[in-house]
Amino acid sequence: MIHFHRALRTFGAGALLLLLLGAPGPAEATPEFGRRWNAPSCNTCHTVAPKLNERGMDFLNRGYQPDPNLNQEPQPTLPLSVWVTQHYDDQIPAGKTNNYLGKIELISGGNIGQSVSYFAEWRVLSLEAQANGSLRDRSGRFEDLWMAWRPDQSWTLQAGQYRPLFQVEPGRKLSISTPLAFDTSLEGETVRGDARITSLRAFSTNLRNPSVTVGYQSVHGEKAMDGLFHYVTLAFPGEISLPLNKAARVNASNEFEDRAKGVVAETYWRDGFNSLGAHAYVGTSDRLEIVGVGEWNPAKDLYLTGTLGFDNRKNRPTRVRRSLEIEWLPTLADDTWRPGLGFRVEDQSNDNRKPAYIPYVVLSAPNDQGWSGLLQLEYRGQASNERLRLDLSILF
Amino acid sequence: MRRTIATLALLLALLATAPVWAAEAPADPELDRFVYSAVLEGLNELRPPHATVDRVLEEDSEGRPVSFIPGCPICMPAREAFRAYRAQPEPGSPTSGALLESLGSEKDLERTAALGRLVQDLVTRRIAASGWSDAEAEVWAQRFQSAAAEGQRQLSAHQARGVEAYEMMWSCMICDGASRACKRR
Repeated sequence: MIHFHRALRTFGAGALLLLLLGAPGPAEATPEFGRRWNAPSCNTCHTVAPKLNERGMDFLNRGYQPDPNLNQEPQPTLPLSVWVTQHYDDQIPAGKTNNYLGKIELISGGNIGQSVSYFAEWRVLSLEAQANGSLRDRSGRFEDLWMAWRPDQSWTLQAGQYRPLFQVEPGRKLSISTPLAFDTSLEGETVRGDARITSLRAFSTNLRNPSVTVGYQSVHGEKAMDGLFHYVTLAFPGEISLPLNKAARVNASNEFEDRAKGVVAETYWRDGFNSLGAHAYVGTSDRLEIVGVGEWNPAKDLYLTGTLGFDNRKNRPTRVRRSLEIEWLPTLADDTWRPGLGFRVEDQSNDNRKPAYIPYVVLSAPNDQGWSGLLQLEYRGQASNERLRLDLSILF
Repeated sequence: MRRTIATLALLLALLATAPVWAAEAPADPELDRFVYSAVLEGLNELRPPHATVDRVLEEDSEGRPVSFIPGCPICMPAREAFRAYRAQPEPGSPTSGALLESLGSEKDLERTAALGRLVQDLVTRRIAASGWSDAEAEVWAQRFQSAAAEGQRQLSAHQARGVEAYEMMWSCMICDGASRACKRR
């Protein structure tokens, strides 16, 4: 109960801050894309940031450029956005509670000419709570850092550091935790005495790797994001990083191994918010993972995502993973407030855990030409792994 | 009492069946007339074929115009001008060209973007012919800006209702065109 009251106080403080942000006032700063393309608000591209709406998906699939019909003229602007997050994390069974500033991220993205796009996310502050309640410091690591070349409307060549997944991007989820289907690790070959390299040899689709991808769109729809897409990614163990302190030099050292950890092949069909696809990872150490993903938008403001997959590892039992997520994100006539409710149930076989039931609440405001606050509250109901988390973010 | 309840029920029924975008008296009648005249004069000179104008004036299944934002103070007089032009006999030798081709496009975004460019051209011409002083032009620019802000609010409200025709628009392109015309004076 004490934990709940503490979370409630933090939630109350966050809600009050969002109320203040939501009060009408002049925009002091705007994120890069909003400023560059004169987008009227965050909701131009997001249902609730960071989840994209159809305009946002179209913009992304054009290599961070709007549909030429929109007559949007690029404006000169500082190519930078900042994302700051305060975390509250209560690992209930262990009685471990953390309330800390966990993320300061510098983000830059856009297009260079008509056919090249890039995206860079540098975490100058990167802390995360561990199972024992301590904070792991990885300040200075890069999340995404990539360039893509689209010589025509069908082909894409991408290189850099990123997740090998294109149908859905776990980074644009509204829950705080990443769905199990994308976040289960397949351990690679162990390097004795080097836990860092050993961990980088592991694979999960949520993990960003130094990679090269070839993409091809075989069927085109009316909108840029609609059609049939195919990607093949070659992923390497490593992490691009500029560690900023002593702990980060251990936890987030700059590493690269030139022996690939495997290949990820993905294919999916998309029509607006609806999509159906699968990806397969075939890797070193006899690792295999196949996951199917479906997204369905059965009614306005209602979004369902289902996953089903399995993996095989050397001398380990096969694990089957499944999850179902439902989100209700009502779009209000007033762009200032964007609330949302979500619920996910997920389970994995052979992990000695019961299914997890994860309800969450999100609220963004004031969505004012691109600067906004975001509040995410998530409870994880799972035997011996109960958890309450709250993130309060400002993006400008 | 029964009569009051019956009257209230009738009023509620009328409100429920009335289109949410039902035309209201313009907040700025002078701006409304300015846009109407600029577009009608322009159309009379441009002489687009009626088939193209019919496409521009198309409505969705709920009777909502697909190329204009209902309730927008710039779209509504522009739409009235198209309707007035359509009520006239078809010109003997209608013009053609890339802009008119886009105006007749089946794609909502292409057609609305072409409308935005057309309105920009026509408002620019009208401003050039108006002989405004700098001070007058400044006042008009502010009026257009305020009308465009209302157009944006209306667009957001319709997008929130899930109106498909406006789904991919970032902003009201007719408002953008008119505002650009004022800025580029």
